[in-house]
Amino acid sequence: MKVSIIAAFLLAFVGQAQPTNEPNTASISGRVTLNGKPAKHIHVTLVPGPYGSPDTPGRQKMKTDDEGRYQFKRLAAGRYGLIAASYLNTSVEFLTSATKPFKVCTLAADEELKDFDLALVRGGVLTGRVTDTDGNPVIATEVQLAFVDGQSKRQRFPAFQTNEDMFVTDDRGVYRLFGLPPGRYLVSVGVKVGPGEYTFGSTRGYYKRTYHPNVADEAQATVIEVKAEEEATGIDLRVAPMEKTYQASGRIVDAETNQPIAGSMYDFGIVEGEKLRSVYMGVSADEQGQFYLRGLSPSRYGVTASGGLTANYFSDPTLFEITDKDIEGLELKLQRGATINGSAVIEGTSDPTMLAKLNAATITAENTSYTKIAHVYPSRAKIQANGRFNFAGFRPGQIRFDLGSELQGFSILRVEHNGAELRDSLAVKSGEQLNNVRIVIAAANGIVRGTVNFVGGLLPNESQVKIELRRGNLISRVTEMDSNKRFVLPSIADGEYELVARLFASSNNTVSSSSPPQRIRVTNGTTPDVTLTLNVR
Amino acid sequence: MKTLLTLGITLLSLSSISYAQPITAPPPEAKTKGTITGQVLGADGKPVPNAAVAVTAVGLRNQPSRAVTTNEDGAFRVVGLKPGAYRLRASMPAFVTAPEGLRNFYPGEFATLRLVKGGAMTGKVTDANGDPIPGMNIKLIGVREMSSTASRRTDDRGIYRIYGIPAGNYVVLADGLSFGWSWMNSDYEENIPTYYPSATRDTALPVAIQHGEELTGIDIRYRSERGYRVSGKLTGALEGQAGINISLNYPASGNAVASVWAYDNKQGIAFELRGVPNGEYDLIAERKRGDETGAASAPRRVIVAGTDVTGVELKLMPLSSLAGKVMLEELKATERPPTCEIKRNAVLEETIITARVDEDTRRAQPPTTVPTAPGDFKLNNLDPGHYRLDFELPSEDWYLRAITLPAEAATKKPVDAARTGIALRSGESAKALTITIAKGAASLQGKMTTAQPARVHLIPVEKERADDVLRYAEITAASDGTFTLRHLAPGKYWVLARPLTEATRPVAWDSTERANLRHEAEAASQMIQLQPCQRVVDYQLTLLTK
Repeated sequence: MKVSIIAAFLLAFVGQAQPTNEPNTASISGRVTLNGKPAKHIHVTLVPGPYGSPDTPGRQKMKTDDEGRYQFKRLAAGRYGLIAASYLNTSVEFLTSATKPFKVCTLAADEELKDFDLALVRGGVLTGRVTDTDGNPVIATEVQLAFVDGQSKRQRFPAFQTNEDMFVTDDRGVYRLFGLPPGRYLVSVGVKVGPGEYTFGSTRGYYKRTYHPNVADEAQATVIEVKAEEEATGIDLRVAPMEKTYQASGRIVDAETNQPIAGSMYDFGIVEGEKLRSVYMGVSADEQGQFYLRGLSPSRYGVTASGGLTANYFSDPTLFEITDKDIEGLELKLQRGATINGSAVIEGTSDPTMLAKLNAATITAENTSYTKIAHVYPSRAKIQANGRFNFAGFRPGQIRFDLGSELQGFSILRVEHNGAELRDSLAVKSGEQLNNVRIVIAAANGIVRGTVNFVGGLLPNESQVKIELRRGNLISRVTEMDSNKRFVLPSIADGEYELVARLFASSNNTVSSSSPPQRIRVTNGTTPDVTLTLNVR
Repeated sequence: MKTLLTLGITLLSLSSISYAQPITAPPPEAKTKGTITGQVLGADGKPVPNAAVAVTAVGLRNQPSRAVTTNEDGAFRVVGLKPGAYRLRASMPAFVTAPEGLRNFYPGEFATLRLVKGGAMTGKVTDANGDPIPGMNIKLIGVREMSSTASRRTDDRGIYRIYGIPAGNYVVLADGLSFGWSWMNSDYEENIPTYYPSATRDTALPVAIQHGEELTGIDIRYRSERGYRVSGKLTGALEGQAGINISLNYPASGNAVASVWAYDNKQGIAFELRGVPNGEYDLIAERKRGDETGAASAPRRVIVAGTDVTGVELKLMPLSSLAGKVMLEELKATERPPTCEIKRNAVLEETIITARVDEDTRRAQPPTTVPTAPGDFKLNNLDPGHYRLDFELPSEDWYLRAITLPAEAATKKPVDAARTGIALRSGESAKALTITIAKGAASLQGKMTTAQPARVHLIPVEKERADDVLRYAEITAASDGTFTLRHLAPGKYWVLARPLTEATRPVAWDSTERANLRHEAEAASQMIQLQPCQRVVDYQLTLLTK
């Protein structure tokens, strides 16, 4: 299901920092070291967004000089990710960074960020062979890597940043992991059974999670020390016979007529904590609305239907649990979604070049009620030449609007419905047709900057820190903290706001602590630097 | 969800029957409507338990593929299939389905699939200094089908290992483009691929591999030659749900040397392809998906010669479609000889219709569809061009009688589209095509008296049939001189063997060629009368040498 994961990345991140017509005057510079020495003539890549694909517009690459220095000039304001790792060299901070594989920074216009250094080491190697109880090679099976962090907690090693081929055993059962950051690792194959753990797609069955050398219990797994430039060999695993996987199937129908709807699609997810996390999205059902989910290991799953990319339908998630048999007859009822039609206007200017920026730019709308149930991406709508936009397929809930990345330097001033300013996010009822929504936009070049201070302990690995800028009950902007614990919120209109830093535990994406809110006032585009204090405990 | 319920129960009942041996005849329950049963055997002929079998409908849109696994006796059963043609593929890691199993199967049939161990290939990629190159993407491309079959990246020692390779001849290449979704920094991403052993595409040394064979030392000395960029913008019919694919293709094979997706369909969207070697290519932009009316640009010839190519504009134009009805003519009971035995009652939905651009033999996957039960069919998203329709008929008893378009005002006679082909302009839709399939087909199986490379032709004897393209048939004789022609209309034919040429287009599509063929056949004067349903076997054919 690589394809849909990629699709998810695209939806989320493509075009986060588009070139604007503003003069680009910001810059980043720093030094790259390899094993503590200047890393000369190696590539450094800068990706706007960050998290862009190699095709992301604005991706830049350069080689370090004789002293290992790099500098990217003439950059637009925005968030950037930097990476200097290769197949052999890895970032020293890799295991502890929340924004791996990138080191992330935010640049304001004219900002000159210096000493943004990247430290590399030559990675280590971990290799071994996977066999079954008869001694036969276990072929084309994925090896999982976990690492033991500074607080002795075991964390999943994220494989997205590197060569995914190396995690798969060959026809001799051999795997070879290379370019690994020095650290303490656990190697396993197979699937865990339990809440939030799953496998799908393999009708032949699955192997139960086994850790090196041949134990099922993580606590008894042998911890392997990997050192820079060194090779840990003979990390073999022996697996028990395959366990059976199961199928789930069902039908998508119109809630009113009980008939299939042409073009209906479904999203498939795993129940993680209290939420449904998408595994893949936008798969077509057949003409009868039938869908089949194959090769499922015992776990709790969920399916949600939509009428297709343009149709105004949604469904509630149907949850099911696979234990020891196939499940059939799941029914997903498509209900008429709510629609939101309106227009976007720029206030305070009649400059045609400013007004033209609206054309074909996008507005995003996020159902914040539903994001409490499932991880979803915001809907996007294009602004037409006459300023109008149309959204469809909403569940009942609270809708929060934001501007697409094309509208950098702008901010939503207010949202009106039938001429009245909204005090809160926009509420939509079941199947409602909301017209006359007006999104008033203004050029906003204010910048809010600050630093997050952590007290009460170390920041857990892989956790995310987000900074919310609020105005009354409305969240007007959210950003992530940079690798250097700073944050920058560009395109802010003058006014009074509240700033809050929130810590998200990576495992379930829920808020584990928040900073006390800090009141700020942006006047003439500026405000003093803000310090937010977040208690980690 | 009756289908799955049945699946569970039948798997149980199948496993209660003991198949100690390979199954040779379909068990009676295989006749069940909508069911394909079968067995997966190993190279040793023994049943293979827990093999995955994927079942994919041919030409049926919006029909998800199905997957089952074999039981302890290697048996499998797929139920609830709609009428249609299906492709079956058995798989186990490192094993491939033997080629004879790669044909169409129909519900009611019993499929025997053989799993054979694929070949394995290993080698090392080094740079000009002999240092290993990690992260290099190694691809195997079949020499005949010219499509990529497998790829794997080299490890930290520059070593790769690819397994489960179907027997065949391959070129092996090392591609340094950080293609796809790698964030890794590479020195090679602007480069053109190096082919084994250290060659360009034109001088690549093909590698032959057998099933079960392990080839070592397929080392590549990487050339590190920089490629060029081809860039430009898209205009025209850009708006749609589907993404736009821009590909740069070799004109001869139609295979892509580079391709890129454009997702955000804005006016005048820019594109750029990297790592392109010097050469001559066709650049095409396409927006095609499912039932949405797509668009494509006309192929633009691009010559890369030592420099980047910039400013190419590709204008997307709406695509065309073809639609019509298939009719099945019964054979009168009086005309059907009592000896005529029909193995299986085929249905219209099992007929596979393929639209091929007449001049274009290179497209690996031409658009394909199947008719509905009443016989309606539609082919969407066709490039403009002159089309011929190809048919895969599900029954040996069937032959193609006529392909017609409605009468033109001037002649008031239906247009014989089998003779003329079908011309489609951009955005045009040809509707009301009538295809007549008749029952009572004959077949001719024979052998040439002297085995040599030859093409065997059937030519209708009657003068009034001279332009009836569907009455012509041709096939290349096997190396032992045998040949079989199926789906033949009953009637009188000349049989003619001609030396093999490189022509890829049926001779009968061209009127001058038809006349030449008739002339030669008349002179050779080997004639055969085929009766409805007749199965001629052991026919002896002499190759005339000029």
